[in-house]
Amino acid sequence: MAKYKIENKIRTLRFMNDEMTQQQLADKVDVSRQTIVAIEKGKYSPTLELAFKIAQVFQVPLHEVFSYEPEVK
Amino acid sequence: MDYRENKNWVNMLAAILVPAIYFSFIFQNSPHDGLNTDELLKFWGKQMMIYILVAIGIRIGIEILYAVVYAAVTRESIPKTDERDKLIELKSKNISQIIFIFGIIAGMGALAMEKSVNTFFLAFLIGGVISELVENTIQLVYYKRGF
Repeated sequence: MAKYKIENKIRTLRFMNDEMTQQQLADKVDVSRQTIVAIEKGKYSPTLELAFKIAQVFQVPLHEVFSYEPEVK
Repeated sequence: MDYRENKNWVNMLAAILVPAIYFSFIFQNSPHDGLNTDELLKFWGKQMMIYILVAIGIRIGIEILYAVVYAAVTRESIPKTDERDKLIELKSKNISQIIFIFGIIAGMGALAMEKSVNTFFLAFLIGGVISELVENTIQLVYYKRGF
């Protein structure tokens, strides 16, 4: 069975939103900058609540921020 | 400089040094020599209670000192604890508690094999130190590698 992982477009969305910094996004969703770094790098999959908060900051639906893709080796 | 990763290193150092210094002092003076089992239990009970208070005090001191040094060196505020930190803490604590239980079981095994009360408390203590080291190591791995 193929392995799946959660991909995200946070880096692109930050860029499209006046080059929002990781710290600014972290402050808006009430987490540490390190957590945003980990999510962007795919090292941490956020909870559903945090994922919704991030999507809300960028004013896009959840599926435009996160996607569930087969892992590329 | 990542606050949590470095804090784990500091905690690991404290987890080794605090009990090592405290109990080496106790063993060097050997006030437990020539005591019967009841007196030995009382002695270790007292020492453990004192150690817990000393360790809590030192840990709080280290925590404050580390936060002050971090803020002075990086000019950044201390990162808030969020869901990722809590999850990492929970995962690492699950494993460290199992190791601590093994320490207690080892101590009881020593008693069952008619070793002295000292051996029981030593196993108890070593179990505690190892469990703390493992907890911090797991946290380091999770922070570095992700999960």
